[in-house]
Amino acid sequence: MQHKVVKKSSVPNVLMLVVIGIATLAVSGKAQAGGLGNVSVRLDRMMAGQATGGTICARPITTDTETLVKITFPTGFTVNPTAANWTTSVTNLPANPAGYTVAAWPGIGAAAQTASGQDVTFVSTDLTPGTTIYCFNFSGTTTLTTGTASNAYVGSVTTQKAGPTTIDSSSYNLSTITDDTITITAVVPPNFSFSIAGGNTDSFTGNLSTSVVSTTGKTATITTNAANGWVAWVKSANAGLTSASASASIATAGTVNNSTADSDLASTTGYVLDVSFTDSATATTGTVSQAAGYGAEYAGNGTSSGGTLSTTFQPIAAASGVTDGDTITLKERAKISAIQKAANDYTDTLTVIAAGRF
Amino acid sequence: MSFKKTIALIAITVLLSFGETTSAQTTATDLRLTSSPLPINLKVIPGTTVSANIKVKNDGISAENIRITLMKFKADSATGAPNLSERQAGDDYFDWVTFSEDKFVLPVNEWKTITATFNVPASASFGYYYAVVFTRAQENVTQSEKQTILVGGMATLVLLEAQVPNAKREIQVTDFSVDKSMFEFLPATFSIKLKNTGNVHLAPRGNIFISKSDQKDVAILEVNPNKGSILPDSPRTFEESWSDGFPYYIDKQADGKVVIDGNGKTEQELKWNFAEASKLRWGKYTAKMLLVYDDGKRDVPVEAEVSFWIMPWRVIIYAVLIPLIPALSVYFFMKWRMKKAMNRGKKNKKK
Repeated sequence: MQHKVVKKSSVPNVLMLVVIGIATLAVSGKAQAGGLGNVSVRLDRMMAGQATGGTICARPITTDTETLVKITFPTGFTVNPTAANWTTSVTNLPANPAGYTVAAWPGIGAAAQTASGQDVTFVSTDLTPGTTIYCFNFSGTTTLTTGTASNAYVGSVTTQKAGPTTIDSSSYNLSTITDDTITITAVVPPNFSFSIAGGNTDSFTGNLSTSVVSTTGKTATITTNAANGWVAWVKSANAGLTSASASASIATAGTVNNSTADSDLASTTGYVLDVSFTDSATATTGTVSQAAGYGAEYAGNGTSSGGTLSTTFQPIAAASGVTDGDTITLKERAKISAIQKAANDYTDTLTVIAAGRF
Repeated sequence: MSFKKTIALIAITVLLSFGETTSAQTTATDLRLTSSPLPINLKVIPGTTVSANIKVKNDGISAENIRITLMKFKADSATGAPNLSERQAGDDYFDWVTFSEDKFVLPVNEWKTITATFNVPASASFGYYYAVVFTRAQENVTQSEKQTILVGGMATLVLLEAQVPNAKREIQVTDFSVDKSMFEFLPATFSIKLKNTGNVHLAPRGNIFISKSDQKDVAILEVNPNKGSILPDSPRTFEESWSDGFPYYIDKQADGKVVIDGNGKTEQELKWNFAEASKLRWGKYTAKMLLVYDDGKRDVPVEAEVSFWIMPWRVIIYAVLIPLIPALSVYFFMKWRMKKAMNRGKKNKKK
């Protein structure tokens, strides 16, 4: 019977092998082309299917004598094959990133030397490895057209010496978006409709007393095809119900703080505004809300609470998109103390403004 | 007819005609107005003039005397909520604005075009934000006891940029997140919180690219397709949903309206569109957001990334159970038959 003899490796032997391996890799790395540092291709326009110029930057790693720089644009981009169109400039280069210095690409040709397939090659002079990032711009006039919207584009930048032989090369990623334009005009102009039903007075349902008394309420209706929705505000003339004849007032309760807790007339006296809404909600419309900063102050409980009134405009509700008839109903509520001066002309004026959002 | 009677008749006629005139301002009827367009974005070189037409229509049942007043708005620096306010001391830029008419009668069902002219001085710079407010010219209120007054108005917002070379255009992403880290089914809703740290309003646009391991661009969502602006020194949150899956939740509807539950939240239901069964989403997904804004020279990119999981556990359980139950049934049936056969064999042996 034969036995295989397995010789155990000693620790020094293993270490020796590791050292030799690393040394081999290091030596072979010197012999091969290296990767460029800080490679970037920054487009002036990132919209899909858009003619654009851009800025190319790279930091050389390997010490050698560069004579060319080749830019390979991603598959899917359209590269104009007329080399003369690919004019360059070295103004308005990016700011220095931390630890590096941006400089104009030395000897960059006034226009490309060749443009073929996805490759565009420019003349360069020698680059100095270190912390300098060399950059140049290429024109956007009849040069490059971006591909469809994607986050998966890959290209490369390669420095070359006579031959041409690659010195350094690295890939870069590019993305394009579906649209980057903000148009001002439109074929179907957005419009905004606002109505307040039934005149401009609102009556308390009874004489003010030490119990909560509310008005019958006024309803405003908003319809808009504005995609960003709408917002509505309210302002009180006096932040209270005032009587000219009695020279007295019933001040608003609480403070404006996105909460109705401090202005619940169940536990205090004063004058508040409760705003409720009905969302025209369909699958294609926006949502009405009274979030913080958008009317939470006036989202009362429907019986005794409301928001603190202010002599400056405060938001009462907002919607996030188009609407086919959202309504907001404003009800004023008041509760007085037993010693409130008697008069029959306590009143206030509320101003309600609504607008399509920007 | 005597002279006195004639005078009296003329007087009554005159009074009635005043009544008709004032009926145009009656406040017993609904105020119904429509304006277009909105909002209005204007760019102007300081020292020049720019104009914009604002159309307003009376949708009510009687003529309205309309008045235009100018207000301003800004975005809250904490929430981004738009705040409306009246002119304050130092708001000299209100003086730059004139209207072709600031009071006019608007007959029923008619449009009126008002030209707003902004005569911007050479010293102007950056952004100015106006609200052009349309209200009834005179609120002749016949007020009774126990009544308050409510004045309604409609505003058209105007965003005016006085273009100067030293404008700072900068957007920062303060948060990019998804509503859950683990989903059973789509939609996944992405929240993009941006802050304008510059001094003019900007409208960033872009996409969210969703990928799964080596599958790039599984879905591409648009961010801010409605071109909403972010005002200087204020935040704005945009939300975008990815619902292109199988199955996916939709808002429950009844009679064409979204159903709201007792807590005021929209009720949802699963939609099983078997024609799109290939869109069953599962595994880890990465959403990379790429927005751009124009800094006056070029597109400036803004990026962020978030990952999340989709684990359709119900579908997985069904997928396991559907073949498993028949297989187990067959197994246990065969086992039962084998046992029965063996018992029968044992009985036969004993006999």
